[in-house]
Amino acid sequence: MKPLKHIVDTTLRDGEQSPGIALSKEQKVFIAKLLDDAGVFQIEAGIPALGSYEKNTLCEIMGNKKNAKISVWNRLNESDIRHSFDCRPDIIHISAPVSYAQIYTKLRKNKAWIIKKLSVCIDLAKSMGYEVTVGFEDASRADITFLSTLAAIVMEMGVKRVRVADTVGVLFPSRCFGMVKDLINYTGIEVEMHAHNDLGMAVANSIAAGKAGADYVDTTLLGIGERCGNCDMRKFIYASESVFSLKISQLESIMLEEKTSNLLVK
Amino acid sequence: MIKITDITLSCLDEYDAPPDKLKKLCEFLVRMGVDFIEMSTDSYRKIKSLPDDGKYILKIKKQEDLGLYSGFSRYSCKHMRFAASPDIISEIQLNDIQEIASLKLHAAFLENIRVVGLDDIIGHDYINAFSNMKNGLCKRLELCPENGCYCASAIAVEWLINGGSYVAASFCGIGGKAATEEVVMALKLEKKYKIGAEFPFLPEMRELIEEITGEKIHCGKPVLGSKIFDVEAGIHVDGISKDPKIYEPFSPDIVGGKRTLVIGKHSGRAALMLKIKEMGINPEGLDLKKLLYAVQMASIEKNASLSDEEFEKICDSMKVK
Repeated sequence: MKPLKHIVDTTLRDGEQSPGIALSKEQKVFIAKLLDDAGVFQIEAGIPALGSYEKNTLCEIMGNKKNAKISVWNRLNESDIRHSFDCRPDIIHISAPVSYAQIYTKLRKNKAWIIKKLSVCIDLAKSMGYEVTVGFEDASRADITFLSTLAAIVMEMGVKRVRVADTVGVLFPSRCFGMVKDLINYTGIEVEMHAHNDLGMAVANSIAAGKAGADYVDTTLLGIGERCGNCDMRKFIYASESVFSLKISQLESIMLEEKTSNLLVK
Repeated sequence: MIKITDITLSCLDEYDAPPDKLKKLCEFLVRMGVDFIEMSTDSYRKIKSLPDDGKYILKIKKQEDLGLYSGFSRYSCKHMRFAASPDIISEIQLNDIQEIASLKLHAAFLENIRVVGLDDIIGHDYINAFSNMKNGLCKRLELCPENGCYCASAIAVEWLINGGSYVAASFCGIGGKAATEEVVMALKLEKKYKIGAEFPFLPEMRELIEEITGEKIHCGKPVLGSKIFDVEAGIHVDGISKDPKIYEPFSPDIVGGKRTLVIGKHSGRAALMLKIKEMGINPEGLDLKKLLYAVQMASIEKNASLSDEEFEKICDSMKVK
């Protein structure tokens, strides 16, 4: 029997923030409805901290949703998470920078600060009863020991799933497989793979992650996303249908592309 | 020892490319530093004199053609179920991982084999399959993965980092193969191939291929795309302004690209300030919070990012006089 994998679509968050794309409230609500109807497990719908326009959009998406879980993306700070409360999403996703470049050069902090801040943010979201997932931003350039430590800490706090993000798209399938396998073996946590396509390997890396035990795979329609884009939903489904059980078919993914391409093609 | 054969010039016959453009492309491939450049007899007849610095393989239709063309390092030909000369790379199509076992039958009388296909091997136990392929099959086994499952470049790289030595690929993946530039760049980042090399001529190669094929290469195409170094999202602009390595897998200079700050719906205040400075706009009288909102609304209205001119106009209209 083929293992079941869940699609987490991030067209409306990571996809939309690629240069050249700017969706209106009506357009985001329309795309979210299509994704929900097609059987996408989870829709990462946006970033509440962007402001009132985005929050209104997210509230409407929440109001319309049928089966899909709606998640919202947050930086590692309490202010972002409070903005998310206004949208009452199903899942609050907190992105934690984990590589040396992200922690020391971008944030100018250290690992201890990340652990402390992440704990505070998870506590805050959990205190309001939200399901929380944690993103390991730039995980592909991070130390697996730190990833495992962090995963163990967030599991203790009730987080069941972490996102392994190949933020700059430099993973190869075998390395991706090893990283996901190690993380699962060391901690038992559920893993969601988030691949970028900078070396043309987003689909291959997502399949490798699934084979290693990741139960969730992030995609975008038409593969839109920063720089060279994210894992393309249609391509992933086509390439992995013989290996994984997916709740959304090739035909549905083709129809999704057809119905949204006028909004998403740069 | 990694050896890459670029087969672009044997994948362009259907486009009726002018000789000067094929010659230019051949020169670019030499500059790129691939180990072998393969071409069809049609391409060869058009190019006529080949650049001195390259090593060339000619793709022939049948073994008898071997005598018609001299001066090539090797020749490649679809395998026709006969023992081939050691100079010939025999192409064998494998559509399924199960077919790998059949390679042993051919290896008994072939010294050079190129395996073409294996599109879906990533979904299988490919490490073990690669091991079976390498185990004493023949002197020279080259893999030319096909891109039917959108994984060809990944397969090529996996083959090479798991002990394979030879790969065939094409520029931009033309003909449904692994993309040479993706394979080279991935190996370069891995410090296994062309470690110090730079490819500032890639945008010219992209334009040349667009002219030959009449098809536009997608602006987000890995390594080659014209907009892969554009950045708009506030968090990314902030990171790149501190150190580009935070959000770029490699420097734009290496591939002749240019980092461009784009203003739009996802810009942050820091990005607006950077753009204002970049464009030499006088920030006096500008309320950044109001400007950001105006930029977001204008971008949503347009359903796209803003041009520099549009941004400047918004700045002018919002200045408190």
